[in-house]
Amino acid sequence: MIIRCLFFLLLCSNVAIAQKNRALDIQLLFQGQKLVLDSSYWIAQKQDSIQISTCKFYLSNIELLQDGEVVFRPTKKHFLIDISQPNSLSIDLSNKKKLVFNQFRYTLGIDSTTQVAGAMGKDLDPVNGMYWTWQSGYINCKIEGYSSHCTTRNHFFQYHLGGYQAPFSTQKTCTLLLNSQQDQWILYFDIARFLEQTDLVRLPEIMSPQAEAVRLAHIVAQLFSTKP
Amino acid sequence: MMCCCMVFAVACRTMSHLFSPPSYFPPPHYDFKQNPLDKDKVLLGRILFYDPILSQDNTISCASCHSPYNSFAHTDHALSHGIGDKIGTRNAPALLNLAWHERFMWDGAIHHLDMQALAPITHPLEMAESMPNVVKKLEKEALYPPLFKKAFGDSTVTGENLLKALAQFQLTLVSNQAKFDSVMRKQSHFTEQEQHGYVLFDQHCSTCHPPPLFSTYQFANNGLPLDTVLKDYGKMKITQNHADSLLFKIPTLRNWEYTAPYMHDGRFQKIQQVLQHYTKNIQKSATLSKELQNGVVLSANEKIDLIAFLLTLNDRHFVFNPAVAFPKTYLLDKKNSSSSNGEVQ
Repeated sequence: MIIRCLFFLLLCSNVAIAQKNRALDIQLLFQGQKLVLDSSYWIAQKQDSIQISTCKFYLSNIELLQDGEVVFRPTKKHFLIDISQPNSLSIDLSNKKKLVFNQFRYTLGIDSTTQVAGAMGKDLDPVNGMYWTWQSGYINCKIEGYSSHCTTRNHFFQYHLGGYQAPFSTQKTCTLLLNSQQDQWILYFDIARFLEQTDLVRLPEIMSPQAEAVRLAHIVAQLFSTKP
Repeated sequence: MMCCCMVFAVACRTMSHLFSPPSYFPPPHYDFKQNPLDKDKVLLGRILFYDPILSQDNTISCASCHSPYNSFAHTDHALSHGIGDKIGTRNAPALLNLAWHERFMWDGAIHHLDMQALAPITHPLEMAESMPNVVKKLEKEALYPPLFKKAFGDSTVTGENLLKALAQFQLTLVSNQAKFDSVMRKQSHFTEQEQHGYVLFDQHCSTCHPPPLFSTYQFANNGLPLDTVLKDYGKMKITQNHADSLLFKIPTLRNWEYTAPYMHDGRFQKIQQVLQHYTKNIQKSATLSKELQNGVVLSANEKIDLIAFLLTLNDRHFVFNPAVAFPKTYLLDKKNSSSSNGEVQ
């Protein structure tokens, strides 16, 4: 009987740990398949051959909600997601008690208060290459690569989407359905869907706050999905 | 609780030793709570400021364009001088009383002193370096990890701590020992000529250059014709707003005599040329400052009296202050004595 009780307690404890140590995984895709940096992809719609060399962005102010009510916010506010850094592709959502939620809220980019708060470290350290040097402000999303259609040097395109002041504020908050009962919590971003909505011929480079940066940043923010 | 109070009291004493503006200065804009001054951080920032290691080829330091003898501005060059004898697009401004600035650079591109150093370090015509590479170089240089450890409690070099240290040193560059200041403190008197110059200054200049900082640190079009080579439209480049065309940051007039040449593009070598501009050559345009719409009228004698007053803004103590000068002990001997703890000379 004692052994049975101990076994039961052990089982409960394992379940509790499993509930506590959960993470949201980020999966970057290209046309539904796992994105591999520097690999060639074909976009039939545009008859274009594409390589992605950089894909980095900030996810901030993450919240889990149950019917619109916030049930959990991780202590860490800003996460730099960088496909070249596998450790960055998982957001720790560990919690002391079991979470029940049906929504996930996030902001693409860095809020204006943080933008003007001076030098900061870790994910916000300017050494990460996500802070403009010629003008103050974080780059909220950086996507770079090569397109056979680009007429730029080496057919290189670079979208550095940033800007935190009106009228060129690029941060965008979105809410998705995400069920706490799911086996895995995964946030998908298919970069091909972004490129389908950009004009790599007319505007292959954005590196300053501007209207087009706002438009593209908002497209990026809304392309995240909890379903592949 | 008592322990916390004591720590706070010690921090305040340290802070007041490093930064003690006079009572007639307004409250500073810089938020010291986010980066409280500390002598070890200030020292680290001072060493970094004078060390050319921050540039790509290790030849140009911050002090190359911001020399203490020029009130931390640049002489000889109208435009900044970078690695490989590259010439930039703007006149290196004087660095003083930076805690009162809201924005930095002639066009206001930078919004926080902590982040300002990123611009010259990475600009291809200035230091042309990258932040990750600066961090790598500093980690390899035996001098620096112990200094970062002493300043921040961690010998790991980070961009955050590098920038905070540089900001801390620059915050200590407070100029308040000019003759004007001694008059404010009632320790001295203006001569009759200086007093007359002060009256003229108050009439014609003080809206944009109000005492005691002698700048609003806002942006204005002061009627300079566009340089057709540089094609620099100032603040408009940042805001993309036509109302900001040809608006540049209003510089302080403190220590002006040490900081020639003048204006954002260093087009004037002498103060007489500056006064000639304001009295004869203002170019009207849609964004011209309203204060200059009717020009400035000054007789030859009035110009002389005005200059006599302006000379009272020179702070010789600031310019020759050994506490902010080149840290010889560290930088001249750094290869041989990487962990020097001696007095800084």
